[in-house]
Amino acid sequence: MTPSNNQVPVTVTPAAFDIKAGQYTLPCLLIRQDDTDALDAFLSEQVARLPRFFDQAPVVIDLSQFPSGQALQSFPVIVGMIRGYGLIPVGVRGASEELCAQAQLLELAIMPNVRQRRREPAIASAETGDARSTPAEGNPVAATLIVDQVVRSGQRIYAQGGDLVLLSGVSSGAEVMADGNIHAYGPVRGRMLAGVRDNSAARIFCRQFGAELVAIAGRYRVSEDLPQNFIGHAVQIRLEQDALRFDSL
Amino acid sequence: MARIIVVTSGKGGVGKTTTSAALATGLAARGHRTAVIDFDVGLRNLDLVMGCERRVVFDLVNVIQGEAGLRQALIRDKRQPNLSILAASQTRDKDALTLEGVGKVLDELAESHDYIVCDSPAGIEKGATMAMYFADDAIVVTNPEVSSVRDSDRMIGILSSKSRRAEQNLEPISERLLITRYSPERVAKGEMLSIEDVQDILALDLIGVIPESESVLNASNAGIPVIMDEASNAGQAYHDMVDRYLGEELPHRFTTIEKKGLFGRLFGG
Repeated sequence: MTPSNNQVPVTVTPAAFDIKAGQYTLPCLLIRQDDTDALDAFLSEQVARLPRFFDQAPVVIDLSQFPSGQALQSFPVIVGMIRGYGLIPVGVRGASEELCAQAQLLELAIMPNVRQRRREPAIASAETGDARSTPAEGNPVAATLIVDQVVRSGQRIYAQGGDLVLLSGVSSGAEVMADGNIHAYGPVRGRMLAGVRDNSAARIFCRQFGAELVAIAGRYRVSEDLPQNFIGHAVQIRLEQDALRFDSL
Repeated sequence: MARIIVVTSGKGGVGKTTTSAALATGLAARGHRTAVIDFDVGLRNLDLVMGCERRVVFDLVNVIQGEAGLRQALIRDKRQPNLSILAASQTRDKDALTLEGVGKVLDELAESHDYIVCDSPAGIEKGATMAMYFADDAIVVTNPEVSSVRDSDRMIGILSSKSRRAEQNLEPISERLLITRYSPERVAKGEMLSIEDVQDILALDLIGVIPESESVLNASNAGIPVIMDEASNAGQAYHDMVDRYLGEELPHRFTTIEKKGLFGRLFGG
């Protein structure tokens, strides 16, 4: 920039487009058998159980456990069925070459093979035999994340797929999140967000309350709008009719 | 093998350079071969506080980039035979620092020194992360005031996650808290956070409390580390800090309001 005698203010127009990295956790529907009737019953049950979770939810079709060499004849039907239940299949993973080709014809992405982390609960798997039986593995034990060190300012903790237990404090400027409940035994001065994937049944249990912001399933309140009588005390926070409710513990 | 100590804070202006100078001088005075390095590239201050600003020929960046040997860049302190100073560059900026280069400098220093004190710049960017990456011990300098405490908390989080020890899953850096510019009178009036308040938020062991003192500015102007001013409270408190660092257990002085005796009250002052 050359200096000039006439100081002209410079305005910078941001570019119209940009590509940035985004990270998303997607549910994966595992298919082990080519059985559309069983899948129909299975999906109908799952969607009825958690309607809000599955409505318009992007889902990856996981074919890694489908026996290789076997053809999945009803693949297009399956994809259509998934769409019919309100889910949005966005891609496949672990698929054989033929299935990948089919997937591409159906305009589904081929997702990279990622080693499944132990904590990620497999949403469900289509079981053999009795389509009506509630599969025991359908409700996986959600892993609890236990943190025993102080969560420092600027740090973020996310308990994916389960509860969060904090044995030490949460500093101002720190953020703790969980898909399930949050149990805080130390002094909390930062942000607490429970039920982050729209789980309005999630609750927050806090022994020494002083948070900057609390949220359950996206409904939040900042510390200025929080009832002052709970500061420094034990409190239970939950959602009641879409509003945060505070009770003494 | 030398012990590497980083003096850091996050917040600027809380007393890192004053503390680095005091710590390095105190260790050298007790017979340990000590080196102190200024990591504030472009805004160097350690040379002023140590009183060697007119003897700087080569600096840390020169050594990293191979333009000078470590022996040529190290400045011998005139008062302490055991103490050497490595100044920062004033003309370059922090982009000239590399992890590999800093590591090599520290390795070479470790061959002939017992303690290496790294004076960190303010902030959490490259200069600060370079200064703390290789540390074995950390002294987190904090003023008893809300913004300094929060910044220190941020820095403590970074120490436990972005250091070499953290990345290689070794025993974590031993972090200790140093409260500076403490005034018991203002704490009593409710204007300043107390030691308990600060420890409550930061949850760190206390290595010392340095009282607010005019002698710090005087020392800085004179280019003599305040620890050498035996008459000043701050100087004495720094001596206590060095002794505690070396393992002694001492009560924290200058943390309560001094009661004036009868003569003090009669004659004021």
